[in-house]
Amino acid sequence: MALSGWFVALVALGIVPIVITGEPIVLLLWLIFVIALGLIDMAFAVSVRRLRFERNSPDRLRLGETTSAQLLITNPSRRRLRAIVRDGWQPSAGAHTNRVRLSVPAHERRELVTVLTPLRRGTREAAHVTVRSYGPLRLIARQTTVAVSGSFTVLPPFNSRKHLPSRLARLRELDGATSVMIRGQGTEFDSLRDYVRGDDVRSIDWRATARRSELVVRTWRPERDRRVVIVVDSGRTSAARIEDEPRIDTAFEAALLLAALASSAGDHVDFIIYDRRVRARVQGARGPDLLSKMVNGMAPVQPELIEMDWSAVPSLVRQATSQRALVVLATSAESPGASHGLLAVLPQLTTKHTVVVASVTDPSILDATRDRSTRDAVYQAGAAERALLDQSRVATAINQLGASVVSQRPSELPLALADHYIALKAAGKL
Amino acid sequence: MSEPTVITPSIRATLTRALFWIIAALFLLGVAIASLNLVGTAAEGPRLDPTSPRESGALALAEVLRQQGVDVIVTTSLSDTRDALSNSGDSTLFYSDFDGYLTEAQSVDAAGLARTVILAEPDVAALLALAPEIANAGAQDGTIAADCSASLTSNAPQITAGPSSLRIIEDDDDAIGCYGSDDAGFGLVTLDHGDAELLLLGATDALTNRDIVAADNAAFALRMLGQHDTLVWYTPSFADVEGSGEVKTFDELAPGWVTPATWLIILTLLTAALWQGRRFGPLVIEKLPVTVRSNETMQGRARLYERTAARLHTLDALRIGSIRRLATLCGMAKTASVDDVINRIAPLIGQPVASLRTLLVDVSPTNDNELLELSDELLALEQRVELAIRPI
Repeated sequence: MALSGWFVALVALGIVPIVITGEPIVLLLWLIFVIALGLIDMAFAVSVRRLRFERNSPDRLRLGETTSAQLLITNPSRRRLRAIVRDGWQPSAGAHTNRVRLSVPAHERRELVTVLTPLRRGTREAAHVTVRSYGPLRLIARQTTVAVSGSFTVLPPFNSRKHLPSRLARLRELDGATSVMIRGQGTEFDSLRDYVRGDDVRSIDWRATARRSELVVRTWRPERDRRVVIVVDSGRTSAARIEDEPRIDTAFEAALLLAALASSAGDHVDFIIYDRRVRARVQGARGPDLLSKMVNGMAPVQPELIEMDWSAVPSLVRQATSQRALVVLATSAESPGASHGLLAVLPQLTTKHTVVVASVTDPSILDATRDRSTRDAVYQAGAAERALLDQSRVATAINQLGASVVSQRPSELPLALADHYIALKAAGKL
Repeated sequence: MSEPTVITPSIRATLTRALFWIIAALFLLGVAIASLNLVGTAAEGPRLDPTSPRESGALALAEVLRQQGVDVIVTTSLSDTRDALSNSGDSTLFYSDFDGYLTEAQSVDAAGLARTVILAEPDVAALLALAPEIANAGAQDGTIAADCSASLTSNAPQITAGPSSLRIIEDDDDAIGCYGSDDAGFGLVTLDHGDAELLLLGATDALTNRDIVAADNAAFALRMLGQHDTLVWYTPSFADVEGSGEVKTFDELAPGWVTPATWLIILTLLTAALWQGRRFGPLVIEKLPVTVRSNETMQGRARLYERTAARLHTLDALRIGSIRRLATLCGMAKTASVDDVINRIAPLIGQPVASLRTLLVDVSPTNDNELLELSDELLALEQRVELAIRPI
């Protein structure tokens, strides 16, 4: 049951007969009249229990996009439904309005559209629908909540896809598709074609030229069908927020850009999210399928407040591929204590694979070293210098174990990792 | 479309669930009403109130008098008292003015209304007007013996004393003091004026519910108050205050609709609160992700340095940072030793090696001010080297 503003106004209207007659008994009579009228009005309201609901939620969308969810309300009764409807989406589903006036004639169905702009990644759910059904006078409403569940998946935004065209162009520079081709390690013979001016004369294939009347050059292209294994750490260190983005989200961005790049370069990408158990795994997917499988796997994963179990990572990589591969470990390499587990297993990986540790650095630490204005700031600067020293010690240790470190601020890390990959590919180190 | 699951419970389900509490609330309400009726209500009230069952009241006495056939009339204003007494023949008037409602004239007026008048704990003004030969004496407690010839006291040799007593200051044959002595004061003084009898009672504790059964209080009280068939028990109240009759209350002054209109406004506000306060369905549960600030370790370490005043430790961290940056600026390896870096930058900025060594290695700060100065010098040094290498 819910009162309406009209009911309150009707109660207040009682002042007129009371002042005119001046009799206290009029108050009682007026109240009885108002309550009786309200109850009769409520009796004419359509019972929410008889309504039928049906949801048409969107399936999935990227974070930052806007979608609309449909709710179909059928009124099987013989009276018109006059109601205010609240569609109970989670706050993070980002419903623009959640109080909608609706009028459904008898035996008809109406559609209620809720515009949603989700605020967070993961599965966003709707639990119930609350309907306030008014009678013809709109005095007292019947209010009932009905469980109508619905959900959709919010995928990681992949904001770094804007960098993809430029990196793909750089990748094509390595490819035989462009005429400027440097022959060297890490490239393999692609095809023969006619010489055009500007081609490197060293790439002229004299034997082929001899068979034909024109100059023929060999084209080269980078090695293909290499393996890339991306392991994202979803342990406690990845929960930390840097520049208002959790580490794990930055790792996802970097992994998506790298996977998009590597799959168009013809490499096989395996993707694993791990802390103490495998939270998501994508294997053997190629092309557009790969990215869609990856984002689906990433969507529900949130960091767990447990320590990452690095000792299982070598066997995970072994399960993914038995060949030599580029292994990207997206984690944090900040303090020697926390990186102990990582450092312990790196030798097992580096003997067979090319290992890159992608780590997000906190720009606020660098800023803190510059601020010497107050006593507190100087102590903080000292602590920040100490943190930087720790980071460089860990990086040195990782380098000594034969792996390389890519560490950048959150906005730069995906790009830095992509560039590192292109550099490795150009150098033929995959 | 299957049958939807309704979360809101139906009215019947709500009532069934709340049934226990409704019954419990009704039961508690019943117990409260019953106990209030048995025990009595407010703690405060006039003393010797013939309708009060409290310790200081006198309901017990009034009830027993009624059972003995005395017509006990309880009044609260002088005019009511006058009406009650004019309707009956020989009667007793018992009154007391603990709260000082009566003026001297009203007190005298009351004292002339009945054949036997008992004034409990008279104040100075009343005594001066009614019996100038009697004065207030001190407080008494314990029990007091009758010790006088008045017939009233013949079967009550001992009564409870207090709270006050009276003294006869001028010898008067009409005045007989009982229960006490000239020195200690009397609990009761009777003044016989022939057609009228005035009893001044100081020992009123003897009449209270608490003490009525002690000593010979009951016999004394019944005898004194039950002399005539009618007893008017007058407790002065606000109605006796002069001029109170002319003051009109708000209800009488305001038009008839004001009170119901006020109630209507209150009810309107109440319904408005219900209108606005009604929640539109239950909340939807949201699982929030953990938020960990990334530089917490760094800040924790800074606080630790500060609390333990680890100045040298802090300065060393700053120095290591500066030396590494200087080495990078000069194009040296990160692992270059301090001496190498000093020897490299000294000629660049034209500063003696010794002073650089003091700043970068030797000096140890003794207080926070020195630490601040040294850290500023380190920054300045970095800027000078940068300018020397990369002039703008």
